[in-house]
This record gives sequence, structure tokens and C-alpha cells, in this order.
Amino acid sequence: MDCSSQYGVEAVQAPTTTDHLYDDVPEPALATEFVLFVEDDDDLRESCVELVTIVLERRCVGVGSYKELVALGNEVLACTAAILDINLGPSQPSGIDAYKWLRHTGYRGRIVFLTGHASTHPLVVDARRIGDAEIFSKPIDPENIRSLVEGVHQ
Amino acid sequence: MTTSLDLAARHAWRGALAAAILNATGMSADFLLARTIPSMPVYPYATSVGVGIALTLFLLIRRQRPTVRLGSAVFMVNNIVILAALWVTSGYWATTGMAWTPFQANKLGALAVAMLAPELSVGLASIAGFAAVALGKSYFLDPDIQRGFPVGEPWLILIYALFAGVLLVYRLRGLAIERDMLRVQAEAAASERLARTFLRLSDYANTPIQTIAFATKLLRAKNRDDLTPILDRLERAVERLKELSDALTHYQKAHHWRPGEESLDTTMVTGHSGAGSATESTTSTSTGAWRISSVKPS
Repeated sequence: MDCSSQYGVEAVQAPTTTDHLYDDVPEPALATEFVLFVEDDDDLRESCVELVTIVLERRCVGVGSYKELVALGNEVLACTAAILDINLGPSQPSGIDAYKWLRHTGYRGRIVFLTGHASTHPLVVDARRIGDAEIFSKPIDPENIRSLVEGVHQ
Repeated sequence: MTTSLDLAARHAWRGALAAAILNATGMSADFLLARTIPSMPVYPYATSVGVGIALTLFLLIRRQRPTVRLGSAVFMVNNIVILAALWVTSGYWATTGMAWTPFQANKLGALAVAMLAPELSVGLASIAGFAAVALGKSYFLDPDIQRGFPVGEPWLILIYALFAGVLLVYRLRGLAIERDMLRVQAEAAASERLARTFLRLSDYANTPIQTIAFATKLLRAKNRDDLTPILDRLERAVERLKELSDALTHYQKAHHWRPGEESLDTTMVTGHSGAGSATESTTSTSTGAWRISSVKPS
């Protein structure tokens, strides 16, 4: 389903090979403020991007991996809120690594972790130690996405 | 030698096997020592050794199906044969006219029972048997022979029997405690495995539930009246799945994560291996902490 063309959503699709990691960054999307959603599950990522775009009427950029996130470079500074899945797949950097990169890049906005793991899972425990990031467990009520996204504008 | 998972049955089988082997070897040695005694009959030794060998073979044949009852029965039969042989041979030993320490075999037998008996009742009966045979045989010996006994004999066998009884109780109680501890540990391990499985199921299910919840919200945003009943049902289904996920997550307190433990194995969900791009790995993160990379659906 090509949701991007239907709804004008500039979502970054997961590349099939690492060679194309840097080709899929949609420049137009980054020209204005946007919500960043880092999630390795394609279906959930696309659903969330569409939800934010259509229901909340905000730009949303979805990336499927840490590498795709890093490929955004300084463009992430235009992000108003970052929602990070803690577990970004086997043998891949985690959402915590994504958090560190965002902060290292200079992003000072809101960061929220979204996880399907139990609160005792080591990655969740690590995320909790970060302090300035909220953690929400999947599944969250879709209305919570609104409060997360709109919270940065308060 | 036995691979039974029933620890009590294994103990019984091993004890009975050791007793049968000791019977065969001990009686053979006793026969060699007694060969210089005139008129010492061979049949008690031959019978006892033969029964010991037969019971050993029987136990080896039944090694894959040991039971406590089997071990106890073999142990009892073995001791009855030994006692019968000792009843006969001790009379000959007593009449040799040479220096003889009465009923050494009975004393040794009582102590061996304490170390090998499969059950308390069988053990106590066997110890009582060794003591009773010694005292009974002593009673029927010629008074002149009795007067030649060392000081305290034949009553010393009672002290041996007392010690053997205490050792038997102590040993069997220790085995029972050990079995209880192993059972508790096994139950705890099983509980933790169950908790880990529930947590993995919960982890695995949460992302698809979230996708359905978002998709339902998106469809509702389209304001299609004809979809409303369907979306209501979907939302109710999501709520129920969330309740299930929450219920599974309650087991997290019973589980302690260790390095190397993964999220749900793909094979548990798909029923076959190699599905999607799921793999398992444990990697170090840039934070220096260990990191579990969960297996996720592709």
C-alpha cells in the first residue's frame, strides 16, 4: 500500500539493502517541522505516520532503523518530537542508541520511547535510566500519540 | 547406569544393585577363607553367590524401568538369602576351635544395609534380621562355644544394629531432603520458563496490536458510517488483546533477565524455522551495557 502518495505522507521506507540507505531520505519533508517516528516494523511505522499526518495533521517522518536515522543528519533538528521504538531489530542498534545520536546531534526536543517489552526487560531498564525520555508501552491508545505530539507545542 | 528420572527409583535401584554385587563378591571371599574348614558346606555360599549374580543381572535388565518397589524387593530377597547362608556357615565357623570373632558378617551386613537400603521399612527389617540371626544362632550354639565368645558377644550386634538404624534414618532423610530440594528447584525453573514464555508472547503481540489500534483509528477518521460497527468490534478486540497482553506481563516479576535471553523465538509463533528475517543475537551497545536484540516478525 503506497500510503505516502495517497495521503501526502513523506515516510521513509525501509531499504532492501544498505546501499540505498541514504537515497530514501525525503528532503522535502525535512524542510519544516515534523514528528519523527523510529520503528523497525513496517506496518506499525506506516500506520503511525498516517495517523499523525491525517488525524493530527502534522508532518511525520518514519524511519526504520538507526542507519536511516543517522542518514537524516542535521535535518533532525527540525523535529518537534521523536518517538523511538526501543528494540530496532536483531543485531541492530537500539532505540537507546538512536536517543544518544539525537542528543549528540544537538536535538533538544522531546523524546519518547515506545516499547512492546515488559518493564523489566534490560533495554527498557536502560531506557528508564536515561531520565529525560518518557517510556510508553505498546499498545498505547491512539489518543496518546496526540498528547505526545502536541505536548511539545505547549 | 539407570537413566530413570525418578530419583527415588534410581536410589533404590542403585542400592539394590550394590547389595547384590556385595553379596556375590563378599560370599565368594568368605568361601575362600572358609575352604580350610573341614566339612564346611559349599551350598550356602553357592546359593548366596548365585542369587547375588542373578539379582545383579535382573537389575541390569530392568535398569530402564526401575521402581522403588523393585529395588526394595530385590534388596529384601538378597538379604534373606545372605541371612540363610550366614545361619548355616556361622555354625561351622563357631565350631572350628580356632579363634573366631563372632558374627562379623552380620555386623558388616547391618552397616551395609544402613548405606544401601532403598526404604526405611526394608532397611529396618534387614538390620533386625542380621541382629536376630546372630542372636538366634548364638542361642543354638553349644554352651561351651558361647563361653568362648569375647566379652560382650553376642550382644554387641545390638549396638551395631542401633548404629545401623540411626545411620539408615539419617541417610534416607538426607535423600528425601535432597529430592525435595531438587523438586522445588525444578518447579522454580519451570515457573521461570513459563514466565519467560509469557513475556515473550506479550512482547511479540504488542506491536501488531498497536498496528491494529492505529489502523482502526485511521479508518474511523475517514468517517465512513458503514464501517462504524466493524471498527467498534475491532476496538473491542484490541481492548481484549491488551488485557491478554497485560495479563501475560504480570509474570515479569517471576522472571529474571539474563544476558543472551531473547524475545520470542520466531519458531514459537510461525511453527517453522527461518521465517522472515528474524534472528537472535546479543550485542554490546554503545552504552557499555549488554543488549538483547529481540526476535521480531519481519
